[in-house]
Amino acid sequence: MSAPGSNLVQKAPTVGHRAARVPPLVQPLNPCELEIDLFCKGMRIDPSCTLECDARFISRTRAGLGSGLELVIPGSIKDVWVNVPVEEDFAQQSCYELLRDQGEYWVRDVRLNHRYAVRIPSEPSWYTRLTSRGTPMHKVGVLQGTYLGIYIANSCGFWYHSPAVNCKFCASGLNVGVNEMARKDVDDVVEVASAAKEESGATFVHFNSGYQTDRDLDEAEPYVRAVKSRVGTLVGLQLIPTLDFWKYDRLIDLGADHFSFCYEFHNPEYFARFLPGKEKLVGQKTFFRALEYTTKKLGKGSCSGEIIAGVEPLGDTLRAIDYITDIGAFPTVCIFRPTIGADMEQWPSPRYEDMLVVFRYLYEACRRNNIPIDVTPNIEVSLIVQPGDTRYLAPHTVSSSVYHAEMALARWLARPYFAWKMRPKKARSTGHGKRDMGRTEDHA
Amino acid sequence: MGNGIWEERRTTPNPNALPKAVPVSRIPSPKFPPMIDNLHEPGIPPKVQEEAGANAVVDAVAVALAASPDPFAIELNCAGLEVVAQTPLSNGLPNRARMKVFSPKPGYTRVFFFKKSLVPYSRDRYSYGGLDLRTSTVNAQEVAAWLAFLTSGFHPVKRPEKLRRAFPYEIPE
Repeated sequence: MSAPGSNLVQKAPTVGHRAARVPPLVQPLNPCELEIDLFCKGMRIDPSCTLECDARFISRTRAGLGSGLELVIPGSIKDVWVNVPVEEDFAQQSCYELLRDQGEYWVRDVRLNHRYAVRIPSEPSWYTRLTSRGTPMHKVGVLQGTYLGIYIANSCGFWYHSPAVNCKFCASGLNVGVNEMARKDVDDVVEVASAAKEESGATFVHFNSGYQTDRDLDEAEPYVRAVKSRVGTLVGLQLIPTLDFWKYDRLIDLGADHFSFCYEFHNPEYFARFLPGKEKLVGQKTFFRALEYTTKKLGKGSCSGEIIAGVEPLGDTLRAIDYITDIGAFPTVCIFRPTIGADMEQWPSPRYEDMLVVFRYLYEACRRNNIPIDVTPNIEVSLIVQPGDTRYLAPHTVSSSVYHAEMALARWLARPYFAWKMRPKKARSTGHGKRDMGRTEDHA
Repeated sequence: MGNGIWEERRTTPNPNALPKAVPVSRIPSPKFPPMIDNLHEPGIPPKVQEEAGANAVVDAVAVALAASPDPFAIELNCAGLEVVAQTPLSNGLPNRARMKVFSPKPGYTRVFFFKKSLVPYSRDRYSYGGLDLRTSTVNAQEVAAWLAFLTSGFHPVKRPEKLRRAFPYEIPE
């Protein structure tokens, strides 16, 4: 059904109970529904587009989700950022095409000739600059939505086992050396983070790493220290978890604001089958314990459990959302993308109807558990459907209205706190230093 | 669930494979490999001959191209020898499979399998892995397997036996 915020160029049908009974295909989609459908179906690019002048440099980094074209779907509740698959085979057969008409960009659904107005975020000027060491800045980090994503380590150890035990959906082992630097220099990272903050208004730097033989958190420490002390942004970490919880304490002391844990599949059989490295060398329970520990330390809504929807049975995905929200974390749900070169490249992309069920459920779970959504300033993630995006899927009920009002108040009240958090500052000195994690040189 | 494709890593017998391993130095260099579709384009024959003359593995690839029943094209303005598969895929989509054979330094040859981005202005390359060779001889059957992998559009069951999927080297353009 269409909800408030639809940016359709044609007249949008009346929203209400009657509209809800109309089959979804003849209805224009609201921004979140369109986002979900674009993730599922991808998009073709019409020759009328002049993306070389208008769009960001496309670069697949990390697990491969960022290989698409970034676009923004304007809406009345919020603008929705989406990294639309354009490279994969399924995208070549999509009903959606991006076209340019009179200087504006539109996504056209060729089934019904609906046209949706969209915006193409321009490339940051710093993408083409070099760091002081001569490294192209886009090879250090890229914007994924409005935040800076940096893959800090030398690929993922799962790819280098014999036999390889890489996650079957992942392409990270295929990228390094091809599209990005093998290892990121701390000073390069500081320069790129500074440029992203000053010139692109980025408020959040997200460090991600593959398996580093249980030294994952240790490897991240110099980067967290440097960005917090020399740049001053919110910092998130997405690393293979450990049961050495003191390492999380240490990173929190250094200023880490967020941890996310990609356990991907809630069903243990799917976890074992598709994530052989995580199954063999880490274990699903380690993800759960680390998520529970960090959420307790940093507070409700600070950490996330990251899962993939569209591979395991729908019921398992809904159970994952329940588990994550019940412990006070927020769910980061990726719609499965059969990325080029990955072992699961031949798998089908998920059905839109199934994903709609998932994200409506996600909204309800966040509301039921009063998980803060869209409270942090200017963090729009293009690779996933953010919990905040699902406000477009909310039923028109009193409880939804109350939840939205609470979140708006929290957003307002949290401004001074985040302003303080985003000032460069030295790490707190605590007792965790005696169990130092290796290099602790302070660049401040 | 699943089609099980990713689980398979078998070596498919290749009907196009050359009979047995031959030292590269004994393979005569082809003058005009017939299965290179764009051989008539200016600059392609000298490009093939120049690369084959400088690198014995490239020479073996050129021989295999000549013997292959499948069509290929050669990229002109690039480092090393870049071969592009021309056989359409069964799903009706164009075959985007490419192979670059280059030498990063004397005595080393790298064979890199990839697809180029479909976005006109993007220079992204999508890796399907590669081979790091430290010898000037190459098994002719191996080369035939590389070409079969290309022709299949990088189908998982056609992966060359020694393919390293994680191939963390800088690849020249």
